[in-house]
Amino acid sequence: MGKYSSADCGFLLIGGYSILGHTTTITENKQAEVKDKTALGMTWREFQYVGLKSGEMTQDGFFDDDTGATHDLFKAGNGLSRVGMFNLTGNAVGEPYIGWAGAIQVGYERRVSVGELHGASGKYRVSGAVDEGVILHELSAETADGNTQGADSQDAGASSSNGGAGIIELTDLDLDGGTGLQAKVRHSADDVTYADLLTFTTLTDIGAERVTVTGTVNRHLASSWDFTGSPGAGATATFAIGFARG
Amino acid sequence: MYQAMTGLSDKHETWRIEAGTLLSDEEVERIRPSLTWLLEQGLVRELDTELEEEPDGEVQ
Repeated sequence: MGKYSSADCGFLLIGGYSILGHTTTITENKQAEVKDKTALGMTWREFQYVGLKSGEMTQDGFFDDDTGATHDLFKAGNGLSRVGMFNLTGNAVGEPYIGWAGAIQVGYERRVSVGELHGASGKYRVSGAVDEGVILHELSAETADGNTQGADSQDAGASSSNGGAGIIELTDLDLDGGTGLQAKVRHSADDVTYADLLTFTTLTDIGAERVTVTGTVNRHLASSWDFTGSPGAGATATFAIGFARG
Repeated sequence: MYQAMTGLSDKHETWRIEAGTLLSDEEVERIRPSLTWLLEQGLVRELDTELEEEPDGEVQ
């Protein structure tokens, strides 16, 4: 806990695109909607929260037309809603992330100036929740089935009862003959036996998904992943998984 | 008799039980340390194995 700098930013993932390496500035905010309830005879304005929250995000960086870079993401993105995930403090299991249930791209701006690298920025309005969760699998490549249960599980100290939301962002996938990547968020009350909490749709291409659950979420959280079918030795998947308690 | 209502495993995944599985005695022993909370949360359910007795001599 403490202060952080640009070097600590772990990832910026939108719909399976990893664009941190093309980004120089991220501006993210959450807002609460209030209405003015000032009446005649009052000397100070008064406001009331009306129970609605919203989020916005703006990314600024370099124009890059490589596959998977900014132009690939932004060029046909206006109006599209994508699941997003963003980390400020380091790409590691247990670090916090900010998640967007539906980041709707509302703007794509390209800037060109003499003597400068071309710039590109995307603007987003968030439709639905802005999550504050914990990373259960850092953005990294896996070449075999696995999980973070045990040593890498996340102990919240107690269970919670309001469900939550899990996010997966898959940024690179080579199935090498396999049929897909099936990932899960799992939970445990005792760090001995783990049960499935939620199962993401089996992914066959880069992309992202956010899945919500209701009810009890036990104190220990972990992720697991399986290459389905019969993958060869060259199978690899690069992904991040997180979960935010409700 | 118990039934797994979701996928279960130990933390090292040395064993796995798929959702919907009717548990063998060996599988029940594997989850025994965690059985209380698994039952409380409905992640494992206990099936009623008592057979209903038919009334003697009654013919419809």
